[in-house]
Amino acid sequence: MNAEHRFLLPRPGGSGRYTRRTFLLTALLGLTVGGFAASRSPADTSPDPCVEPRWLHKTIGDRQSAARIGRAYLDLHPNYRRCHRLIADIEKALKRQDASFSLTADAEQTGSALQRLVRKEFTRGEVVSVAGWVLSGTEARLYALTAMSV
Amino acid sequence: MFTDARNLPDRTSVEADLAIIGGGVAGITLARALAGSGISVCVVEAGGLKPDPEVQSLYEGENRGIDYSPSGTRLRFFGGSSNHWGGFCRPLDPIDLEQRDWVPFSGWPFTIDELRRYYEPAAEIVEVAPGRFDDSDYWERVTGEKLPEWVTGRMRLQFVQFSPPTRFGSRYQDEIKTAADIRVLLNANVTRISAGDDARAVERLDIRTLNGLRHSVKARYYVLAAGGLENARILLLSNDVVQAGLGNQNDLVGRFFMEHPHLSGFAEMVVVDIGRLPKIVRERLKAQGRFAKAAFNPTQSFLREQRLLNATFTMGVAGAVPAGKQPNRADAHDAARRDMLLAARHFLGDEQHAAKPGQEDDVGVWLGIGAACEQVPNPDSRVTLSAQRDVLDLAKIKLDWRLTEQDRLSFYTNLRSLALEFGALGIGRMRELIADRHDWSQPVHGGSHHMGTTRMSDDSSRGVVDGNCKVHAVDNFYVAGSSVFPTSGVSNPTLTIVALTLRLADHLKERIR
Ligand SMILES: Cc1cc2nc3c(=O)[nH]c(=O)nc-3n(C[C@H](O)[C@H](O)[C@H](O)COP(=O)(O)OP(=O)(O)OC[C@H]3O[C@@H](n4cnc5c(N)ncnc54)[C@H](O)[C@@H]3O)c2cc1C
Repeated sequence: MNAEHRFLLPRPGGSGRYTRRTFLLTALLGLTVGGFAASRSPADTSPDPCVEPRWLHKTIGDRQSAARIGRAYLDLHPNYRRCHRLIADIEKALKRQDASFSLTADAEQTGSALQRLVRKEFTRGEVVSVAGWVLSGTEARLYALTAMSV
Repeated sequence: MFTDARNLPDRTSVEADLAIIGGGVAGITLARALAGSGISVCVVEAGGLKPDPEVQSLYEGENRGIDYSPSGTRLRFFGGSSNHWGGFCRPLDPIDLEQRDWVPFSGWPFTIDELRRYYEPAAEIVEVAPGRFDDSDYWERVTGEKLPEWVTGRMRLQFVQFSPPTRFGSRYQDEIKTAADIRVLLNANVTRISAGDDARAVERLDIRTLNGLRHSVKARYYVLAAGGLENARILLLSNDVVQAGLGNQNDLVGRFFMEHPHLSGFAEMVVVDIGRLPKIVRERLKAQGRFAKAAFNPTQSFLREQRLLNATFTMGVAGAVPAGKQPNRADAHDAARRDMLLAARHFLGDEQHAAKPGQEDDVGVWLGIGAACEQVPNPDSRVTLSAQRDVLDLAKIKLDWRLTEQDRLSFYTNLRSLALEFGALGIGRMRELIADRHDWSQPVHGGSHHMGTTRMSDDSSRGVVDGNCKVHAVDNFYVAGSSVFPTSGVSNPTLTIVALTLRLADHLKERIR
């Protein structure tokens, strides 16, 4: 026998063992139906809505999707519910990569720098777990920033 | 020549230079390797040429540990478990044989170099030659697809090659039938290995048939090749001279039972552009007449640095996330995958994808991940004799397969490495579906790989057999098969069983001549 035998391919009709079991697991993981938690906790009355930085759209694909992941991250790290804090940390990480970098650089450049940074963080193992997804720390904060902006 | 032991006169005694107990992968390989050498060989095989439920029932046993079927994971007839093996082949990695201070009881009496020259002939026997198990350049050339250059230093690609799969009993039957010096006794159950009074030499094999006959085989040398569970059982049952069982002076026979824990459903990977993941990584490919598939293994340096056990991960496309379709928010998985793929497009796609999100047929695909792991040799994971008896009134086995926390933590670290590698290359994002890291996330299965129960060490206090696979303190008695593996590595065992058996054949040719 081998690992390959164990793939759980979807069965015709779609109601395979995988779906049932992983559904239960998902419940255990605390994911809400619909993917990522859609609401903020009642305690979160953050008065800190963001003005979306111009470079964000160069790094984020679909904003609604990113925001859902970002909210799950913020639920785990409520201290990041501050726009300036998120941006400061993202900038700090970028500067670690390139000391001369400034977030005032044009959006295109920032987008590329962030792509490089995210990959580098994976290489260095600087990752966080968000609803089971293994994400680079900066990547997760970018999604959080999106959540604060939409 | 094949002889059905049920048709011989009662109390027949057969003589040969070498008696082999078991006509499975190891037994057949050994007999073939000795054919024409002038050594007469008698293979004593419990089954016939076809499966028989009554014979198979002699493999039943009690299970105490992790859910496991002693009878469902092996076959008792000529050809042994090769009659239903899957044909996955890969040699051990060099590190698997090393003494590693973070792996208790690790270290083979020799390095991989000793096995290397036997792997190629072994690959021919299981019909996968030439073995290109580590040769990325070769697979790039024959598949025409460039393989990614992994960047974190944690993972590398290796290649599993697939045997047709070779059914040893039928594939080599004619050759054995016509070999002048080989005689196979079928339907002949070895019930005891009889040693002289000082237990320094084996004198005879006691045989019983299911129609009530008793025979014996006398030889100058004996090799026990009855599979990783039965090798231990037969030694424990041979307890007339040494009470604990033949070769068991140091209470090692049956201990250190190892499997390759197999897991699934613990994680999945989403990928925006499946074209960035070569086909050989996600499916079994035929190239130059042979099938192969890439597997992810931790690099040896990472294993050393992080003090980990070996592991292997394989992947296959499990489904697509179609574009244009409204996400099914009632299906948490569909929604989560879709969100991840859409959010991370710029990190995962190439620039072209990033520029035109949502215009492709699919948002991306998700891949299932399967894993097989090495486990640490554990004296409490073991085969003993049960109080239950089989139809020959012999004690069945009692199996107690156990895993340790070290095994589990090692698996999680290796799994995380896979996530990092895919993230670092910008190919995919992994979702861990592990509810509780303090437990195995999913039911653990074995791979029907029975290892460690007559482990090899040159130190008789740590091994049942020495580096030549000879039972310590018994001059004319050897063991073949994966029961001699002191550590399991993570590769499927049969290719190594064949290689080790060819090495044993060379040793016996020298010794018996
Ligand atoms: C479903 C399944 C899938 C597998 N897939 C793979 C794979 O993909 N890759 C891989 O490497 N390995 C695989 N294996 C494992 C592989 O089959 C074994 O490693 C291999 O067969 C072991 O060889 P062996 O000679 O030690 O034992 P066996 O091949 O089992 O032979 C033992 C022989 O001894 C005989 N015997 C037992 N007791 C007695 C007795 N008392 N007297 C006389 N004869 C006796 C038996 O009848 C049998 O013929 C798989 C196993 C199973 C069950």
